Amino acid sequence: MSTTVDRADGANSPDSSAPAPAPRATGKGVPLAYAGSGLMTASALMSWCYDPDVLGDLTLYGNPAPVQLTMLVLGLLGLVLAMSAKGPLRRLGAGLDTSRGAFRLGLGAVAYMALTLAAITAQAGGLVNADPGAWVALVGSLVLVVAGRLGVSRPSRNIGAMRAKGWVEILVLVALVAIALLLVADGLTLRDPWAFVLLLLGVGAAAAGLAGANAFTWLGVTASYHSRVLTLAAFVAAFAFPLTQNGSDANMSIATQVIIFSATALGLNIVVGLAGLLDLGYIAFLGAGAYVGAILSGSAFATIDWQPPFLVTVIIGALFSALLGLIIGSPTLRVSGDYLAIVTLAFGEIFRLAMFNLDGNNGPKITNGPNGIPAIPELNFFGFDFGVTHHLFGIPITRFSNYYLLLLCVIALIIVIFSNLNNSRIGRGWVAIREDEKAADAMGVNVFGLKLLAFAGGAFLAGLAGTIKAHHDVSVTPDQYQFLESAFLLAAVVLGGMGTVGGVLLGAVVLKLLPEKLRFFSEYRLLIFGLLLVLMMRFRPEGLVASKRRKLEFHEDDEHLADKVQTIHLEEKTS
Amino acid sequence: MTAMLEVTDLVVAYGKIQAVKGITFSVEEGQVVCLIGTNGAGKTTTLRTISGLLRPESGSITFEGERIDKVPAHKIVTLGLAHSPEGRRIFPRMTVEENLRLGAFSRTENTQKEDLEAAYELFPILAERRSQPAGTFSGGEQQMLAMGRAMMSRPRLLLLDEPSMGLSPLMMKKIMSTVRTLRSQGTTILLVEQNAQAALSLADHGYVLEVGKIVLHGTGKELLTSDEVRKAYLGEA
Repeated sequence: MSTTVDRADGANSPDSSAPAPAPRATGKGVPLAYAGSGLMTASALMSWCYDPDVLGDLTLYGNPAPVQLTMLVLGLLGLVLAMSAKGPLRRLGAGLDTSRGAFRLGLGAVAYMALTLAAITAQAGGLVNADPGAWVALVGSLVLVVAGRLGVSRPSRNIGAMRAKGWVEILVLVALVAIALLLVADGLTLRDPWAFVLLLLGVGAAAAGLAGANAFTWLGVTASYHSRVLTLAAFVAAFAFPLTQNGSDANMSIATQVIIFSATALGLNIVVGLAGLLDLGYIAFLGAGAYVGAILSGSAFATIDWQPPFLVTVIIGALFSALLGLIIGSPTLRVSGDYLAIVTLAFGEIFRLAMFNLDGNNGPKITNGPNGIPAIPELNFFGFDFGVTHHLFGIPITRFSNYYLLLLCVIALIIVIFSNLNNSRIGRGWVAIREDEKAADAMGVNVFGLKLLAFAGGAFLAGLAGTIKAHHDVSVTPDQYQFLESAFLLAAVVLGGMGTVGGVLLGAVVLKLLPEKLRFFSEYRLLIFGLLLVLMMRFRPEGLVASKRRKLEFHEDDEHLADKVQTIHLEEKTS
Repeated sequence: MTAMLEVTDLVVAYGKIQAVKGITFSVEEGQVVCLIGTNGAGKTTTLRTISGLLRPESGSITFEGERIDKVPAHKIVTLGLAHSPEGRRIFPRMTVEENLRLGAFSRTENTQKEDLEAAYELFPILAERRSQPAGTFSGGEQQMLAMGRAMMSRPRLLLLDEPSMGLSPLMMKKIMSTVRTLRSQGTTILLVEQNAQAALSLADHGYVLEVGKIVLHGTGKELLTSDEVRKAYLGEA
């Protein structure tokens, strides 16, 4: 038993060596932090603009519009930071780096106000239309930046080791999920692109502030403590989403596309994130499943006159994809390095061109060539028709909602498979292969077999999703499955955080949702996207949500981080 | 009676360059046998060929009466032969415990708990740091981990490649005494070392390799006192 005690001591030593209730140095910036965030909060209740047609109605006193509500939230966040530096929330402040938090929150708020003023200038015809409220908000944000620079307070404890009562932590997590659901539901309904970008920027500012204050470290640890609760809450929220749409299909069609994309990205995450195999042609496996789904759908344009029950089609589609994966993988996975990337890249193109040419003129008539297979009938599960609107508690569930819910179940399945693999003997084998293939081989890891398993398994899941996608899309054509789609999938995995479920979901949602909402600069989409990737690789190569191990891979010489990882590991063990 | 491991006329080449030019030796059960020699003598190549990481040009390797020179590396481990490679090659971003569990990857029986305990008993420091990423370890600790990891597959024959490389004299002593402990617990050991003194003083039998050929062999004591070995490897005139 003594070893356990030793370990616990060892884990806490970086913090416990310093006396726990040590008085924290509070900086000169505290009054400024109060003033700045106070101004920001107050500004939300003032008029920002003379023109009532800009960004909703910003002209009223004491009746904030959504754009001002965002500023209200930012201001309140600033107040929380100030109060935890010096004031009623001092205990919370022990773990928070409020200096950095205030600085980044302030910067974010400045950017937010700059864009708001730009919108007012552009839409109302000149900066003169800005009312005092807007200037108050801008000044408040700037004051907060200065406060952060002067120093508010530094943490005296490792926030990762701070624990609240169990139910409080769960409540926080559930509240965050609910907020996320509301934000997405709200953000999707915004028709004004300015307002949408502003909302994004506001969320970004809040996130920057919280991240700067180390709050996300606590959140990460807490989330891994209550991962089941969090997953459950996220799923409940996702299932509840169609209910918030009141029978409108406009957002549900976007949401369904997002979720197809997410499911595929999660499948790719097994190949790339767990096994470390760079697959640049993953979309072809989705396409293979979709074509199988289309050909066996009973469409009038299907080239095979056989319509098995859908469950059989799903299995055939998935197995067909897996078979393709085996055929591509078995010669290439034996060699390590970049060969796989090149071969999969070529495979993706070969697939698209093959589908293009199997039209009866250049080859056997299987896919109708560029015309594809249209008029795929709606899914029908045991008499449940996916094409019509159903009612649940009087709330209409539309066609897109039906597919959305089905695909959500597929995502759940993929997540279950993913996390079981990640924590299994096979998952450890994959990590070992990623780290040192030769050493893994010497330890008795069947390197080739495990790589092939990951590759074919990933293809299987993509094929499975593809069969459903075919019915959702109504028609399947070759140009839906081009290289750009593979690149986007890979970007979702990398951007979100390789090897994590939450990160990849986040990345997929961001990458699919933003282009849909930001159609007004769709010509610049790829430009912005490329820029974003470059910036990410420079500043946060491990992705938005980093798995513990990936973090180590990118910041190897960071001993402090190594300690932190150890702390988290120990806490998971002892919990 | 045949030996546990028999290597006969083994030739290994990297492309056109032969690194091992026809060597024959054997390891009896319960012994510590060492291969010594200078850099490039072919010691590591020999070990890597035995454990299946390299394929021989010609010759044969027999382990407990079974030809293993065409068996893939991951299957050789299941036969009861473990390899602690040169330079340790631990998995730096995995924790100590994950590293150890990986050593037992080939074992399907559910004995990991006992095996972990055994490894921790062998190297108590590993137990203290079981949740620490292995990359943060010092060289000596990494070597202990590499040995502990190799032992997790419950090998009857352990191939140890340069365990003393880059270690302090004190740490080297500790590693060598562990080799003794392992032998007394019934593990046969094939040891490759540049540190001839340390290796020969605990070996039952030794082979001296020079540019891919065995030039001398005998019991550890014989070699320690042999003039040629003293001149070439122990730095004595």
